[in-house]
Amino acid sequence: MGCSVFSSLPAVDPEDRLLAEPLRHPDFFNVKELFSLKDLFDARVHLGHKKGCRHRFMEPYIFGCRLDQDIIDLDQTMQHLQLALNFTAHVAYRKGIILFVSRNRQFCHLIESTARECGEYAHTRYWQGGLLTNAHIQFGSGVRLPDLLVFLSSLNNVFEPHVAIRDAAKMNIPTVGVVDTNCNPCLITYPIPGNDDSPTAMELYCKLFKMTIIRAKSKRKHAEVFQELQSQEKSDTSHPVLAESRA
Amino acid sequence: MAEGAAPQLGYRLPLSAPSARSGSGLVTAARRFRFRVAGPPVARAAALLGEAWSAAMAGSRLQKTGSVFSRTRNLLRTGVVPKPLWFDVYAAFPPLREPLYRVARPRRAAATDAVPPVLYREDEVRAKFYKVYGSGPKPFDLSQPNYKSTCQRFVEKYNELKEEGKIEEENLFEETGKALLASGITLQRRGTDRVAQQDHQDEEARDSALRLQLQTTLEELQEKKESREEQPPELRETQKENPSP
Repeated sequence: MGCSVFSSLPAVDPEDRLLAEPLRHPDFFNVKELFSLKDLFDARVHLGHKKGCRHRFMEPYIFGCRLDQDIIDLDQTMQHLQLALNFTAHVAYRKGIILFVSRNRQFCHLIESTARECGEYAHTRYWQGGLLTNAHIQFGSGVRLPDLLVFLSSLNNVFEPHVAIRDAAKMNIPTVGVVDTNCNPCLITYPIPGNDDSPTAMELYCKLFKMTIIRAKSKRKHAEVFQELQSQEKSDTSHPVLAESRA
Repeated sequence: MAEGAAPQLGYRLPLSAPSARSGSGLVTAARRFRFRVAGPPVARAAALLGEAWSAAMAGSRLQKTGSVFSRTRNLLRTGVVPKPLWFDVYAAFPPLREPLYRVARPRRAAATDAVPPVLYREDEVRAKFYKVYGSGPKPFDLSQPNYKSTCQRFVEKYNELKEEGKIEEENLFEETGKALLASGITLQRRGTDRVAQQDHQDEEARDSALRLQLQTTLEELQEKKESREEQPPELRETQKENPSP
């Protein structure tokens, strides 16, 4: 009994240390180096829609209006993108399920292949009403909902906010989303103000998310392996008599 | 301040105090949670199907009240939900703006904090260029990232000549046109000084514009011929792109 209690204690502590360690660094996965302002500019992330399409809540993220076309402030986009990628990386590190959502048919295949390559999930087709809110009836009782929703375009085919944004907020699931100048960024936990219509911009986002998730997962594997090695060393060097006297 | 008003009670009486609504929001929300979560049907179902089901069933679907984080934090405090994966991450790295629901009401006409227009000093030169020469001789090729249009070259030449300072302000525009001509870019005038005149005789105006165009192109041809005779033969190849024969 005493031996089993003592053997269970170290199992909890390293696990917590494994999860708590990344939270101490401001940029544990070094997502800042994945993109630069010039990359965003070259990928035309700063180009918004025309003045008439502007959503009121996007005004703080817009740099200015040039010949009636909104230009998104890339300095703010850099900050938001860093936060969003950092959050995604931490969720992937903790083995969370990430679901990519977009209703933009032009990039549906790109997003699905991105999700497949980084080992996560994508839903770029028609969103049925109760997918998140009625999951236990639609999919069975033991279903696990995604821990993070990534919107690469937050509007649906009729230019209304995607239902999944509201549903994720209802189910207390955090969201990361690319918001263009005609989108509502209110309910999205980590919005990324940026263009969601240009192919170059979408390819950039997909590349960034894929690299962050793969990086986070590989770091997790390394950390687990390292911990296993450490625990093996400890069990090799520790004496059973000394262990019981400690307890 | 609300807690100090009724220290003996474990809760406040919220509905009669509309002024303290924002402060009591948390308390009323918690009361609503209690009604949703701790009912007898949930307890029976939990007994039948096991703990996981009841833990999954508990939640708060009020997306218009507070943010995802605040609701989850309150649910954790009451202890009805296991800690989700993302909670610690959000606590360590919160977003720049808390994701609260806001009603998107259309703004009144006089928008004080509207988006500013983006204008540069060179825009004056560009506006004049487009008014005089139309959209320029060759179309924009946006597939190249460092593409420079005719208008951009014009503006740069204009700024160069302005910095040199030898030419006066009024002549600067024409001098830039001539300088561009010398480097091989021909500019066709669109039609001069039709700004404030609304002629009834449109045909006359069109004729006069055509005549002006012919005159300017003939002048340019003559100038080019003269400059061609002076120039060495290598530069003749750069002038092949002009439309006029």
